Amino acid sequence: MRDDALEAAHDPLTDEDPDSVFARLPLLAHERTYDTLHAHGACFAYAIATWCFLLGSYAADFLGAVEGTVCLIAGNLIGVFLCTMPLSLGCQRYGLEQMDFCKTAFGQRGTHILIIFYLINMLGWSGLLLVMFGNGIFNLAIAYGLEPGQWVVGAGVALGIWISYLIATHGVHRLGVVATWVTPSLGLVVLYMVYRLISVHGWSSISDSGPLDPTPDAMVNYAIVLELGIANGFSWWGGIGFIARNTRSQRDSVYPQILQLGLTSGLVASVALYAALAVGSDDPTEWMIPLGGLFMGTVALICIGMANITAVSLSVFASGLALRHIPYLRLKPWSQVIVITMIPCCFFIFWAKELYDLGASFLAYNGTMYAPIAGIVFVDFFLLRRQRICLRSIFDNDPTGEYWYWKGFNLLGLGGIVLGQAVYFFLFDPIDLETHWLFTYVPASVAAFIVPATAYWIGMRLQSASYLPPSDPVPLQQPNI
Amino acid sequence: MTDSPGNPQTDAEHVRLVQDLQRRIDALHHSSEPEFGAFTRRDWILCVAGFLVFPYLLYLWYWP
Repeated sequence: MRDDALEAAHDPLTDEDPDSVFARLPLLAHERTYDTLHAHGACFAYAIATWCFLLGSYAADFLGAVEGTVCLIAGNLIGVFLCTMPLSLGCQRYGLEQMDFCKTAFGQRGTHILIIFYLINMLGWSGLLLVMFGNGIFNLAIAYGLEPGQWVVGAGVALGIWISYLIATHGVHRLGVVATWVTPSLGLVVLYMVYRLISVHGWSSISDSGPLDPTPDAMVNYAIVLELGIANGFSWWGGIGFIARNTRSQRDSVYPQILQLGLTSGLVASVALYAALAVGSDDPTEWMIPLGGLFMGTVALICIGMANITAVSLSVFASGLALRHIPYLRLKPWSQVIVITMIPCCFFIFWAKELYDLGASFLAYNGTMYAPIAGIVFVDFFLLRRQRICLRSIFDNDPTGEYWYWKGFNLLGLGGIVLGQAVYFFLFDPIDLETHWLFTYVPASVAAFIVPATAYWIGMRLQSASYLPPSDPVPLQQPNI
Repeated sequence: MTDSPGNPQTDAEHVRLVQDLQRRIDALHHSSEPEFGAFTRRDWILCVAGFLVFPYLLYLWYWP
């Protein structure tokens, strides 16, 4: 079994325990599976996932249809562009997943801190999608004349956790089969939504609809939705390396990500925005029955429920892979790792509504987490290292390695994250929606990208004039795989 | 080798894994750049203009 797993190490979606460890091995050029079409397909499947519905619904609280569309598309494109360039080009060139790639900027052990952000991101999204799954069951029950209590939502979350656990432990590759149906189905749901929105409500009615719960300041509303769009773009950070390392050319690693995760995702979120404005609710599971009637609404909710479970299973699987970076969990049985991964999701069983209502704040918080990381990695890869890294040192815990820094931590990189978060909160508090006047001109995510990146570049330049890797590779001293 | 204790079977597998890793590092180190496709200056201009500058101009255009 393990020999088979070793041979199958190039397949990141095989279902056996050891593969999740071996999936860290750098992929060779001939092992890459995504050509242009496959890369677009994989990114498209991510892009039209149901989290776009959540993004659109949050935007509807602040803006109408036209301005909301502009901010969602512009924000997504900017966010994806800023975080994808170094990750896509670097992970593609060296066949690395992003946690390993980021060791150049944050150090061997410093990336463990990034794993915390990564897990918050993945499990936060998973929790929101699980509540959406529970809300879908709740609203279906209402549509069929039942009178469910709010406990049904929590029970739905628990059911979703159980199904996701089974999928993540018994074979995520089987999700490929499910995804073959789920992604096109969800695409059809979106198209059907567009059709019903235009035919029943009409564009003029939708474009005349006001936002659901705006702040008193129109400019702040506009800036907040741009910020949500950019933060959503940054929130793809966790999945970019996974796709990029599997692509065969650098263009295939960049364009599909930006066009699908940025543009398509922004367009789908815009459709969700229109639905929220037309129906007058920011809960996506409340849109389908009013828009499509009982039968088509039920079909749409089932499709969305399946898509939610698919996305949660993939997130949990990817989170399990990330946890494999922690030495204690490196050789633990895969089922135990998945259980540990899913524990935080259990909070959503008991506080489903409370946590769901914090969704917009969570989305914005992605900006505080990933914008500084993206900025630092951007400067590190393009300006300091000129796109050349020492692959051996990525996998070597020896203190003489290029990326060991101080006890495995690059304090400049990690300090930059703290600085970026401070800059973000100075401009915009995503919980209370309090803003600095500068926020309407400079998105908080962009400032949290630029300021720590600049500070990091100056600090690293002061330490050394050159960060190019040694020309002659030496054998691994303390392999960390 | 690894921070986690392992049985002899696991250790043997780990040795093989490290050998495979070393082989991959060497192969990637000696790979030529064209093997990975080209991302040219033209691509950069297109990306910066299309995915950064244009969206921001669009945002400013619709400024309330």
